[in-house]
Amino acid sequence: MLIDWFTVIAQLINFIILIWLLKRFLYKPVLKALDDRENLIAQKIRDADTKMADADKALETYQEKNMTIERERMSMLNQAKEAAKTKHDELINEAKKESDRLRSTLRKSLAIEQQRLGGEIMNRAAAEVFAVARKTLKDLASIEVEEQMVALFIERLRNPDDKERAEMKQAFGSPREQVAVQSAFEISEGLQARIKDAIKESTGGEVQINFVFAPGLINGIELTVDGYKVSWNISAYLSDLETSVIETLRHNAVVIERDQKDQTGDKNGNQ
Amino acid sequence: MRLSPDDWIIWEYGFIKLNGTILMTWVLMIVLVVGSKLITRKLTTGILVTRWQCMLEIVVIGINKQIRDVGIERPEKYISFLGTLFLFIGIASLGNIIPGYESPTGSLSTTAALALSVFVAVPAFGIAELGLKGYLKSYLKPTIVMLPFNIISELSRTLALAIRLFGNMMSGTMILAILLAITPFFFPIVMQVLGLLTGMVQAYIFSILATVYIAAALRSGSEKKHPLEHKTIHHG
Repeated sequence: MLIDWFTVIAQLINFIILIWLLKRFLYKPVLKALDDRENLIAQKIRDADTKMADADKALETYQEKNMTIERERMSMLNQAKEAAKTKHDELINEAKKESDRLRSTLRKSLAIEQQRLGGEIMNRAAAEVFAVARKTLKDLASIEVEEQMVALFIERLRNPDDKERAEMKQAFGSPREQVAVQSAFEISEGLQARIKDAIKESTGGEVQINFVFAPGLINGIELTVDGYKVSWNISAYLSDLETSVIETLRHNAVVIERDQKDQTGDKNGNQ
Repeated sequence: MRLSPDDWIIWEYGFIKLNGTILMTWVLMIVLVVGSKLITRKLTTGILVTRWQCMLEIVVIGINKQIRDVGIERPEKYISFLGTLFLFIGIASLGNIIPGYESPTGSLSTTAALALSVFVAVPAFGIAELGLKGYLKSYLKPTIVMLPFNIISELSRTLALAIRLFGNMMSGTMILAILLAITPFFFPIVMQVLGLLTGMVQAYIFSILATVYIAAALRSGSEKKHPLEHKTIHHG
């Protein structure tokens, strides 16, 4: 007999026990572990999704913030640029005004200097010219310049033009009037007599004449009576010289000014 | 030469006896339970698992998937029974590689016991799922005429299960014995390898057939729930 019924029953019981044992020790724990792991992974995926959503939101927020900051930055930059440009223009204008002011000051002071220099040159030149003329005349023709000067003065008294003559007559009309002859040098007796003669000849009467030594009078001789004045000095000769000197100075000033303008132009160009 | 390990009597006391089949079954039970216990003792639920746990999970998931593929919706309920069938028969066959081992499935008593358990389990699961009335109705399908045939089929398939497994397992042992007598050394080893394959295939066939029977018992109920089916039955 192939089938032993005791063994069959024993095996049935064995098999049932085995089912129970394996259920207890194998299927339940393994299935539970699988379920747990599945839940864990699902939980982790959910967490990850939540975190991802949070991260996306945060990213969006940060991007928005960044954009806002960028916009603010740009607007601030533009404002700063605008302000800088305004300031730049202001400064340039101020500098221009200052430079104009300085230039006009320079021009004024230059003119003043020119005038002062002109006057000085005139005085110096007069003195020099007189000295040179005196020396030259003395050396070449043994003529005292004072004498010659007086001669010229007398010539002028003798041969005035019509207008001068009328004025002279009117001035010398009053005999009480004092006639003063001022000169930058001492007039010798002889010359004094010659001047007297000449006046007498011109006016046709005796006149009291005061000879005054006035060193302030630049190299000349002057006659005054009742507001009328006849004079001779070397200013006529000097006026040509003055004109020439002033012309030279003006020319120099123009050159200096042009140079300054060129330099300013270069600077502006470089900017 | 023994045809069956039943003939290997170790201890006997009247009606009660301890033979090779029972002893080998105990050994197998101990191996299975202790192995499972050792591995499941430190199961982790994290992402990182031990290799043994991974192996065990592959086995359990594989069985689960097979049951589900046959058409049972909740395999967890039936894995204890069907999984144990497969593991017991499979490990019993694998044991053949150990010298001195005799597979308990090579005894018709064991295969009969397994077939009997299937014979009992199928209606038991069916009744648990559908209720006694619902299950018994499945014998009247498609018509009442089929009732005797359904009962015969139920009995014959149980017998077939037992004989098929026994025949395959016993034949392996028999062929080995005969070949050892005719062509020793090399050829029996090849046959033993083939025997291992046959054993695993038989384990699969036995448990998948049991699954199909259970699935059929469960499905007859679910089909009944279909409204159109219900109508047809009423009219029929």
